[in-house]
This record gives sequence, structure tokens and C-alpha cells, in this order.
Amino acid sequence: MTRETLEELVLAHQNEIYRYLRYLGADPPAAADLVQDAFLAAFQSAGAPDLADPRARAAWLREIARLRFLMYCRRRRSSPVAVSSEWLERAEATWSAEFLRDRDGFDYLEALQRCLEDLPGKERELVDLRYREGKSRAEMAERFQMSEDGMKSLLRRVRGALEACVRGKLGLGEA
Amino acid sequence: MSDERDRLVDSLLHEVAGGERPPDLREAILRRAGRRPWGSLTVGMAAAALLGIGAWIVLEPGAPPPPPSPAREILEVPLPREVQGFQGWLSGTLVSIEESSVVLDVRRASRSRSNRAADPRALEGRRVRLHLGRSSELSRQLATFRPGDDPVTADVWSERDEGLYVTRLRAGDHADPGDP
Repeated sequence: MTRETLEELVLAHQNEIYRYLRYLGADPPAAADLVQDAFLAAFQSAGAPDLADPRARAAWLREIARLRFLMYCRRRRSSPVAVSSEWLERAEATWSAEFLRDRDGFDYLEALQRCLEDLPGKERELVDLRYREGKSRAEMAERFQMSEDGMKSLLRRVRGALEACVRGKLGLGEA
Repeated sequence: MSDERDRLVDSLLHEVAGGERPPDLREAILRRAGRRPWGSLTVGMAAAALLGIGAWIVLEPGAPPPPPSPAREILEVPLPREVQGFQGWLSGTLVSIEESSVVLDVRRASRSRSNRAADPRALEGRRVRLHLGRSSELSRQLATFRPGDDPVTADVWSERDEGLYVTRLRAGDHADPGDP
């Protein structure tokens, strides 16, 4: 692979690989490091697929990124998630089937944005506190005078409602 | 909703609601890619190499280049099927140290309990590329080695055909001689 090919690959896929690593559980600094490692590993690899096929090369880069993330987790004493090869394969299946769906995922992001704008007041406030202001579940639980487990369940229900809304907008039906 | 789908929405909300944006890492990646040994050849070194090739063509016009020895080729990804899933120890001579990998001339391979490779011995007598993790401990270990060091033992694992990864590098031959 030439440096020009590498540059093309980075331009085309760095955002997806970063999002993918965040989805797997890497925090932002780790995701940025792992994106770099993944592209360098791809650069040095002799096993590149047909680079003219964007889906094949994206799947290949995700596979390299998964392996890098697995190594990262094994090096850490406290892994962000209980990572195993089987878990990573399930995560990949969800990413491919739900987020990408043989596309690039932007329609999913756009649908999520629209669903977020339609979210009722209290749910929107919860999302803003959690994702915009970066409040912990404990801080949010205290503010809403509920248990941390209760807040965890509530946030999951809000995400579930958002996901159902996204599926509706994308015409995916019930999962 | 499954845990994976919940995780998907959770991760995307950091971007959609929280304003997190994927960073542009192009320059950083290309800078690191440019630090590879062959990327830092000077014009003078390249010219010298070309002169050498020219001299060889003039002096030995009829001599065909020697065929590459299979044993001396560096084993990279995709790994041969019989060594995919190898986990264990490789000992031998350290051939080169690069930014994100080392090449080991393997004399002996021994497997750990979690090995899934059908024939780890197929690595013996081969030059293999071992990819490096980013742990600072491994970086410290690596700083004490030089190409040509022998014997050196690498603790190695791999997942399917993605290549071999070194997690620890030690001086001496620590591959288990009792491994069948």
C-alpha cells in the first residue's frame, strides 16, 4: 500500500472507525489513538482486500480496529467493557445490521438527530444532562431524587424510545 | 432493546447530542506512516542503492537474481491456516525493530494452553512479523533490545488471521522445551 492509498483510506474511513471504536467502548483519547494504530496496521499489512470496494475495505478496517481494541482492553487492568472475541462479533453484527445496513450510517445519524429534536421536555433534559453536560448517573439521580439504578433504567428507556423513533424514520420496523 | 443496540444509541448520542466530533487524524497517521525505515531513506542513500544495482547489472549481466528463500521471507498477514490462533512463546534472533512491529527469526515455538493453532511448529525456521501493542511496559522492554540480539523470547498471541502480536519481550530462550 502506498502513502497515497493510505491517505485515501484515512479520508474515507477515519470517521467511521472512530465512531466504531467509541461504540465498542473506547473513550475519546483511546479511540483517537486506536484509529491511528488501526490505519498504521492496515498500511503495514500484506492482507489488504480489494481496496476499490469501499464496503470490503471498511469491513477490513473495522476488523483491524476490533483487534486493536481487544489488545487495548487486555493491556488495561480495568477494561471499559467485558470484551471477548464473541462479544466483539456480536457488536460488529449490530453495527453492520443496524447502523450501516449496506450504507455509510449517515442516515442513522440524521434520523437520530431528528428524533432527538422531537423528544419531549423531560427526556430531552435527561439527554442534555447526560450527553451535553457530561453529568454522571449519580449526579443525575440526585438531581431527580431517584436511585442510581433507577436513573440507569430511565436513561436506557429514553435511548430505547430514540431507537424506536429512528427505526420508524428509517422504515426498519420492530426489531 | 439489546445491550448492543443500546450501546449503539448511547455512543451516537455523544456525537448527536453532546457535539463530540471524530477528530481529523490524517496528518498524525501520515506522519507516523512516514517514520517507517524505508520512508526515511535519503536521496543519497537511494542514489547509492541505484548505483549498486547498476553495477551489479554491468558486472553480472547473465546472472539471474537468486530466488527468494521461502524460509527467509517475512511471514505476515494473512497467516497460514496452520498457525492462525497461535498463542504461546517464540524464541530466536531479533532481526529488526520497527515502529509498530518487530521481526523475529524463530528458532523455537511453544504453545500456551489457550493456543488454537493446529501446527505452531510451522513458525520455526521462519521470519515472522510480530506487531507491538502500545503498552509503556512493552516500549520499555523494547528499548533494551537491538537487532541481532539472540536469544530473545516473545510472548505472542493472535486472533484468527490478523497477525501475531507480542505482549512481552525477554532476553533468553524461554520457549518451553517440553512442548510437544
